Amino acid sequence: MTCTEYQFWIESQTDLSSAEQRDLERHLAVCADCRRVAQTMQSYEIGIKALQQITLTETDENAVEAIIGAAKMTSRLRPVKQRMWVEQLVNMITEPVFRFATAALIVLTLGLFGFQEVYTVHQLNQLAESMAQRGRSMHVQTKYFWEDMKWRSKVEHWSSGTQGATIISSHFLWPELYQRLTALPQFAKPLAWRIRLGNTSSAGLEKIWYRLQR
Amino acid sequence: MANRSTQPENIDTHDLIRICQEGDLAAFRELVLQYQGAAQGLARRFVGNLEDAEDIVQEAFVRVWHHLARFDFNKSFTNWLFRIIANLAYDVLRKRIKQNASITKWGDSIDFITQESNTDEALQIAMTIRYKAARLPLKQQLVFVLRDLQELSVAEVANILQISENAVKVNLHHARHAIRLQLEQGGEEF
Repeated sequence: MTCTEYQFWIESQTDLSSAEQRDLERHLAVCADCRRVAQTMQSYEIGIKALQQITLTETDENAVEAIIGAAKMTSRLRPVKQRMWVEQLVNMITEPVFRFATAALIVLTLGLFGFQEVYTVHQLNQLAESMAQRGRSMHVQTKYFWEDMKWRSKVEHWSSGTQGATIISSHFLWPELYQRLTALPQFAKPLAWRIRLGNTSSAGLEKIWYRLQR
Repeated sequence: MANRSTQPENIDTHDLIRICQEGDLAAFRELVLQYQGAAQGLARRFVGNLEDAEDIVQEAFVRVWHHLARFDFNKSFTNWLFRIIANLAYDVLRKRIKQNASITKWGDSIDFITQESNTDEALQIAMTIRYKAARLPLKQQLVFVLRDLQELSVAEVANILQISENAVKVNLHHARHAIRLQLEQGGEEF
């Protein structure tokens, strides 16, 4: 056998018969090159063990919930509704009674129009502007958006906005995020948003899923 | 420590899948709970950084949810899930090549390795292996992760990647040969 063949055995970690193992050991005793290969493969094993320490991770509950949410979201996609829904939603949210509305009431009311309302990004922009014109803050929390058919979860902090401002999160204002969206090369692809709508910064507002498309 | 999926498939898994096929999200949550850790570990071994791994795992389970009706109960759910993950990882890795993305996406794993490794030498060897592995042809990368890091059998790797067992052996040999040469040339500075 040639050194190439012996080194193939070594690198492949082939299961050798007893005779083959003895043959290899005899060769290693006299061949420095093949010994070097064998020693390197021992180092390889050390490195592999270290890499394997990036091991099976423990179950991440947050990740599990994100997955379930994503599964729900993609099961509920609906076509774009008429523009009238935007105005109805704005009117409803800005009614004084909803200033003190409970989360349950909001959920029930919006439920009449369906959780799966679909708005274009431009309509959401209009919604935000309409809210601002009424002196209300539209509180929006981004949770997911679907870019290029891949989910990217960005957990943003819920934050209250100043009067007339529309806050997406502690990181984005709606106009800035809107510009980012329109600049996306894959903007033609459907975008899915999970947002909270309301006229207060109450933490009791229910999360509502919306699918947005251009 | 086992590197394979920790959840042996049994009749309970198949029962769970049957319930999921009826659209039961609670059952699907249970399924995700059982496999999310293993899926995350594999995805991270493929792509290195946590963010891409999380994206891959999310997308993989969404695809599982939408295609459960097609699941063949004569096949392994683990292999099916791993196949989806491997395909998604392939896309990520291919995109990185096009974008000339550097190996630094593996950077967030270095601290983890440091905590566990006993020696700097082990860390250096590990990073050299990872450095070289990330520059292998994509098929070799996938085989390397599934066979050497995940410790799946040749038959399982072949099934997951939908290639012949001989192709697995050939790709694995090429991968190990390239990595071995890199180790002999010396590691990179990280």
